[in-house]
Formats: sequence, structure tokens, C-alpha cells
Amino acid sequence: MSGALSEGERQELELWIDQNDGNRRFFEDMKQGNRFAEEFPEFCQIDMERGWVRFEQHIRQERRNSWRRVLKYVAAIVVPVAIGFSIWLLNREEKNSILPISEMIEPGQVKATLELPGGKTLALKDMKQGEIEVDKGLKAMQTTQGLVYDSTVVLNVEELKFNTLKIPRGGEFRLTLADGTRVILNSATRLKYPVAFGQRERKVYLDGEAYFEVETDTTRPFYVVMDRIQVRVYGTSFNVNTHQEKGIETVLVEGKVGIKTFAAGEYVLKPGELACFDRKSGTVEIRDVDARQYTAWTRGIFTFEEETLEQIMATLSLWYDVDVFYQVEAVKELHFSGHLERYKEIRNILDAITEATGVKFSIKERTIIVSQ
Amino acid sequence: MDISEDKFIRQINAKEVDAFRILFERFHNYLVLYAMRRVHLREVAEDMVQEVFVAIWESPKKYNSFHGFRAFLYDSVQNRCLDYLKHKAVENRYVAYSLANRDDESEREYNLMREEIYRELYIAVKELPDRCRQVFELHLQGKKNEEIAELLSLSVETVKTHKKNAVRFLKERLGNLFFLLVMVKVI
Repeated sequence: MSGALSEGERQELELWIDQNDGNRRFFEDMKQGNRFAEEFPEFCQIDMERGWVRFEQHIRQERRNSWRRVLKYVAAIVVPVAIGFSIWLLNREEKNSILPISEMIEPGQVKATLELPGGKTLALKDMKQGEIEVDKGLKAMQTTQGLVYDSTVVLNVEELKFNTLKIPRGGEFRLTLADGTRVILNSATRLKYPVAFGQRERKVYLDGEAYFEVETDTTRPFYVVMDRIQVRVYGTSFNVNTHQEKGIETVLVEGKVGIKTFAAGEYVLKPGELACFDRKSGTVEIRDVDARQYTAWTRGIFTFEEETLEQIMATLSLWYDVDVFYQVEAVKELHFSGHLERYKEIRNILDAITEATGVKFSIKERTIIVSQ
Repeated sequence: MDISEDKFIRQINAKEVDAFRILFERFHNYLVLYAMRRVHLREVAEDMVQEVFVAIWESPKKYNSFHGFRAFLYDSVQNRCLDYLKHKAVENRYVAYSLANRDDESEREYNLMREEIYRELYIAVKELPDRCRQVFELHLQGKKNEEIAELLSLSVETVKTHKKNAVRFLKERLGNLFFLLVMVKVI
């Protein structure tokens, strides 16, 4: 597919083949049959993450049950084993660290910074596991399911200690609060919450987009406070987004929530309803929507339903951490609908939009240029 | 690998979870495939690899080098496959052949090299961006640009771009091996 080899490449290869019998034998082996083309589809079916989850559960169980693994860091004796091939492999591996295709823009990842009561900050990443001291004497667990706070602590004193999670552009993060409420935080989002809730109420402060599954507790109402409104929750799941141009959007999946603005009274939402708070007029507008669409991001999908290109690009720019530049202003108003995968390289999404609308995209470093 | 091999082995010896995660990323899928060539059932193959990794986690054994560790991985999977096949009383040329050759040092060395090259290749192709990989897989099946474009509803130009990107990516990742694959027409 790449055409013929250059003379230099061919010579290098021949040199390698002549280096030893193993290399020659390998060359001959490869000429026979095509194991790769036959096996590769099968290879793609193997699910590493499933294996990893199994393994992780196993070792966590074991760690809990035993104290024996004290012997750590026994200095290993390093015996360099040099056969011609392994040197060859190593040479190649050094090249791997260079990012190969400059226009490749990968999706966001699990990452966040955690701000502790003293003002100290910690960087949290995927796969790192263990305990974090979130306040004096109080620990949270970092797991594959995100950060999990200790649910056994209820404060008697009403002096709350807060943690703040900041998710950068190109990041997402999962969190389980001290009351068992699960939160998924999207890119460019900030959530402030107490490390343990008080006895009367549960209150968190949000800027950005998050999906909540609130643990029912009739004695302690749950509030999500945003810049201009607050959502009162009665045990339920819903999505809140302050990023939208139109206003602050709250979509209820199940249960019951009330939207309270600072000026007016409370609007009660039913499942499948969206409340949009207009920042300019200060009013709340309620309409029916497909709630699953608004929470699709938590399942790894972008759903766009008759949205303008400008809105779509704004959403993508947060997740992929890119800037957008329009060569033609008019294209901003084009509409597009589609379901696209969130954990894919951005090209896949842009190609789909190009096919549907004819708009062209080019990528220069971390800027996407939109033209007609 | 983004950490040095020596460091990786030290971390495996110290039972660091992060190192086991890397072990999964770099070896799990390929070892499952390796086992599947012998036992043919994916579930069985996955169980075997899982058992091998758990055994490494639980064993106090220390590994001296990355090379030795690698050989140990393939051997462990292979031995489990042989046990499984013997247990199932499968009369099988493979078992006989493997048992006859398991102590031949140069044979083992060659097999390890072959598997490691294939592992590199599989991982590199798997890491291609999705669309690019789909194009590449169809290409491997002998499809022409026009057919690929039709199947994936892309323009022929886009197919060509994906191919070009795939070649660039694989060349970077595979170096000499890429030339080898082109020469023997695997790619």
C-alpha cells in the first residue's frame, strides 16, 4: 500500500535479514501465509478492560485480607541480555514516544485536580489507585470508578470542610460523595462539596456540566447551587449544564427536582423535562425532551439534535481541548444531527459532519479551522 | 514502552499496581490470542492469561530482566495450554510437537522473537485511530479504495488520506519491521 521500498530501505532490510539465522527464518516464515490478516479481527475482539477489572477485583480482595506484602523494592539484579534482535526492538521503541501524526487530536481523559481544605491541590489521574487524605484524618478512595468518599461519616458539628474538584478542558471524572450520591463531571467543570455532609442538608456548588444520581435521604434535601439558580433534589437522577449559550439547562431523567431562581419561586420538573434558565431575562422555560440524549455523554456518546455548528463546535472544543476558528461566519448557523462516539479521535466526528453538511475542517496544532 | 524496561521489571517485582496495568495493556490481548491459537476458545484463553497474571502477582518470584520475564509469560501461557489440552485428552500434533521441542533453547529463543514481533505489529495496528484502522483492515482483506469508500460511506479521497496516515503511523511505530511487512506483502 505504500508502494515499493526505496533502495536505502531495501538495503537496510537485507542487512537485517543477513544478520543471523533467526532473522532470515523469520523473513521466510512471514512470506508463508498471512497470519496477521486472518487473526487480526479476532485480536480486536479481545477485551483488555474486562480482564483488567477481573484482575483488579482479585487483588483488591487479597490486599484487604492480608498484610503480608511488606517486602517491597527488593533490588533486582539486572542482567542485560543482548541478542541482536532485542537491540533492534529497543531502537524502534525509542521512536515510539514521538507523536506520529501531527493532526491527530485525541479525546479527553479521566483527569482532575482536587483542592483540599488547607488550599493544597492534588492532581488525579486515571488508573492511580489508593487512599487520599481529603481532610485531617479523613480519607477517600481512588478507584476505577473514580473518587469515593467515606459514607460512614456524618458530622455532628455544622462546620463543614470542603473539597473542590476541577476538571480541565479535555477531562472528565467520576465521584461518589459521602452520602453515596454519584456524580459524573464533564470537561471544564468545577464542583465544590463537603467531605462529609451535615445533618440538615446536602449542598454542592457547580459550574459546568455534571450528571447526578442522588441517593435518597428524606431527612436531608440535596441542593445543587449554580451561579444564578439552585436545584433542589428529592432523590433522583438528572443532568445540569451551565456551559450552554442559551442558559443553564437542567434535564430530569427520573425522580423529582425543583428549580429555584433567586428572583422567582420554584419550578418543579417531571422526568423527561428540560428547564432552561435564561441568564438575561432571568426566566425559566420548561419543555419536553428526550432525557437520554442529554445524558448520552456519560455513556460515551455525543448526541446532536438539530444543533447549530457553532454549538456543536463549542461542545467539541471542551472535550478535545481545541480552539475553533471560522473562516466563513455563515457556516456557524448550519444545523446538524447525529450520534457520534466520544472516545474517538476528533477526525471521525469532523468527517461525519463534513459528509452531512459539506463544511470543511482543517487542523493546525490545536486549532480547528472551519471553511466552506 | 514509556517506562524503561528495567524499571518496569522492578515495579513488577515490587507488585506495583501501575506496572500490572501496563502489563495488561502491552501483553494481555496478545497472550490471549497466543493461547487461542492452541485452545481455540476465547473464554478459556482469557481465563488462562488471567491465571498467569494472578500467579505473577501472588508469587514471590523475582525477575532479573525484561527479556527473561517476557519468555516466562509465553512459557506460562503455553504450559497452561498444554495442561488443558492434555487434560482434555486431545490427541493433537501440536501437543506432541511442543512437548518434544520445549527444551530446545534456540527454538525457544526463535519462537519468542517471532511472537514479540507479531505482538508489536498487532498493538501498533490496534492503536491506529478507529476510522483509519477500519480502512486499513479492509485493505488487508484485499479491498480496493472504491470498495472501501462504498463500505464505510466515505469519499475515495478520504480513504486515501486514511491509508496515507496509517502508513505514516506504522512506519514511525514499526521502523524496520514495517519495511519487512511491505516486502513480504503482509501490508
